[in-house]
Amino acid sequence: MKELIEEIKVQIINALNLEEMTPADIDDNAPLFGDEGLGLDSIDVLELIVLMEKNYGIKLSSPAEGKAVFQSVAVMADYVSKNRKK
Amino acid sequence: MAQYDHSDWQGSTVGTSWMQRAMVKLFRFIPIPLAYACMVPVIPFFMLFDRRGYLASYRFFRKRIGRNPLHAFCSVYANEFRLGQVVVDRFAQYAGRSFELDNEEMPVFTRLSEAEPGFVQLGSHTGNFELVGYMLRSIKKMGTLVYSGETETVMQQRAAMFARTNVEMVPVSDDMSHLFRLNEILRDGGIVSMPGDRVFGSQKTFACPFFGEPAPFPAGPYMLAAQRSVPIVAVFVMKEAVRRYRIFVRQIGEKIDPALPSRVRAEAMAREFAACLEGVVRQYPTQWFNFYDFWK
Repeated sequence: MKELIEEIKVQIINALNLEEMTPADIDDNAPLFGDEGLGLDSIDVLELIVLMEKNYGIKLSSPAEGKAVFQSVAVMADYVSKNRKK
Repeated sequence: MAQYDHSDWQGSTVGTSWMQRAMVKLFRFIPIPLAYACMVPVIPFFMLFDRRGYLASYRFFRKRIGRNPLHAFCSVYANEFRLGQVVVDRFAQYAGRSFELDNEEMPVFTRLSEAEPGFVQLGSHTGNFELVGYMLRSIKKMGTLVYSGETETVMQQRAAMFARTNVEMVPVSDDMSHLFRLNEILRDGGIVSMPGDRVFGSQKTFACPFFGEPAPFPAGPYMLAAQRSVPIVAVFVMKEAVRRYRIFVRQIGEKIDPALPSRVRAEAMAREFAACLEGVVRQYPTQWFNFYDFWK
């Protein structure tokens, strides 16, 4: 799981162009959206939806699903490990 | 990417729901030129009482188009009159009236709509972009992003118009469900239609050269196309005569290296769209309908 968390952090940094950040700067359990944590917004949600689809074959189709999955990197990694198709 | 907020500019259609219903009924009977004529004495009141809109329009003609004060003042009148005509045409369309469309640039749209991947179709607050949804026919499913602050009448009329097409209205929503739906439509090879010049939802923007000064363009539409690696088509529907519009179709991003990171490609596409928009607005300056300081 630790490796998957690191892999997802690298993918988020690349996808969102967070050049000033390293995986170590992202807390596994910090919220991805809102004022705390990474502070991502709706444009970034799109990035994450496409990232999940292209890298893991996971197609998210509802906001409720997205809200549950994109809580934190740790939650994302857990979801990916259980639902990945590639 | 910079953060801007144009959320205080609503940009919804004027009038209450019952007034708009009355307009739809009225346009079944009265000639369109008569409706235009009725606007002639009304426009000065809009110029007088909508100070913010008046000043934005006046400054646009003075600073961006370079007209002298008197010419700029007259242009504001023409600008407001054109907007009124476009609104009348929209309700006339709801009432079943039809318009001619000069569409010699349609092959670009047709070629893309017949190809396998989907694409993003971008409009703007110029001319009458809404008309394109009712008049262009595509075999692809089209999801069109609509502002949810419109009145019930406008939404019902749009739904009735779109019921005859394969267009699905996707309202902007706080829970971001529109993003999931638009992404789904693109993933399934459909067309996503939205404005390319208005910042709403995410406040992230790209500063693009526009009439000699950087202006904020919304990052969302360009990011969506770049992330899914689909083309962008800019569509402008400009009024040329009482019953005639001309459609301009431009493919955006054809020469951008697909190997570049998605954010870089998205920004390049935003700049290209801004350049296309500027070209069309220079040709039809009185059909520029962003009545706020677009550059702020």
